[in-house]
Amino acid sequence: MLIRPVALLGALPLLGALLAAAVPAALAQTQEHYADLTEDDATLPSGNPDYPYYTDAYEAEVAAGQALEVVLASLSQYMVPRVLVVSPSADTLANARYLGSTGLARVVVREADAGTWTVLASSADGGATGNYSLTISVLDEAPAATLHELAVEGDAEALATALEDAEYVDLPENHRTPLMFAAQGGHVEAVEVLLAAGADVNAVAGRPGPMYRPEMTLDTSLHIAAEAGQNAVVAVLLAAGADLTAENAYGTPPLVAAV
Amino acid sequence: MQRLLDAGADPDAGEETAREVAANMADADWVEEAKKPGYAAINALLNG
Repeated sequence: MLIRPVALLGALPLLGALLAAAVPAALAQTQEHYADLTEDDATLPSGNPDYPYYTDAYEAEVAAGQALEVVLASLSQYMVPRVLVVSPSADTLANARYLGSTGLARVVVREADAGTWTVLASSADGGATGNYSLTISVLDEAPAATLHELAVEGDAEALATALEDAEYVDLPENHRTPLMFAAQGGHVEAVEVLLAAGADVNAVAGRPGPMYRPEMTLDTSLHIAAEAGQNAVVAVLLAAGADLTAENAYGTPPLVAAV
Repeated sequence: MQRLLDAGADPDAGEETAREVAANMADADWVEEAKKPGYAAINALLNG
């Protein structure tokens, strides 16, 4: 395993097209990088050219059968972390924004293609700068699936097993709890497992935390299930005490979300 | 929708109510024609 910063991006066709300038070489040789996004960095285009996404790039060598895990933590009030990873052939791009109020962005690539992966540390907000820590891990075994991943898949059995060791069933990811992901997907059994494990049926998406973001919807699981038309899940949530009158950030109750 | 109404959801709650949203969308020019019958049905449901 070798992890090193990118010296020249011109050799990467996809990134060469995306990035407006070459990233200056950094010399870190370890998996941990502490660095700053600055206005001198390379940029990814944003909707407003005056506020590009400042970006640092790193490389990680991955062998066949290994997994890649990248965690970007913002150490700045103004930088909401976003991390992107690009496969050796530049045909796969995994993208993660920050995980709710944890201040982290995390990407896991299981069964990663062998070769040189590129990791882009950036911000979800155009024009944002700030310091961050980046951990790039190349693993012989992929990490266990998170509650969120299992909730998205609706794997109730695996969820039940994972919940036995979970410290906090409502840990948000991308502003949402595992219950919200299961509700959106219409996974009734997964919803029931999460509720039985103590998931808060009236938790709100993007409750303001250390890094409040104005687009937080404050939706509940009932809003999300109603909007997605997941009627069976709506029934389960109601039976578990979901609040019919909860209004989201736009003053909208679940019934309006269902229209 | 029906489950929420059955559970007691208020069609007149919120800054823009479910009744208003359904009525507006049933009439709106920008709503695809294929969806208008659905919103009209919801509107009829809400207006009993």
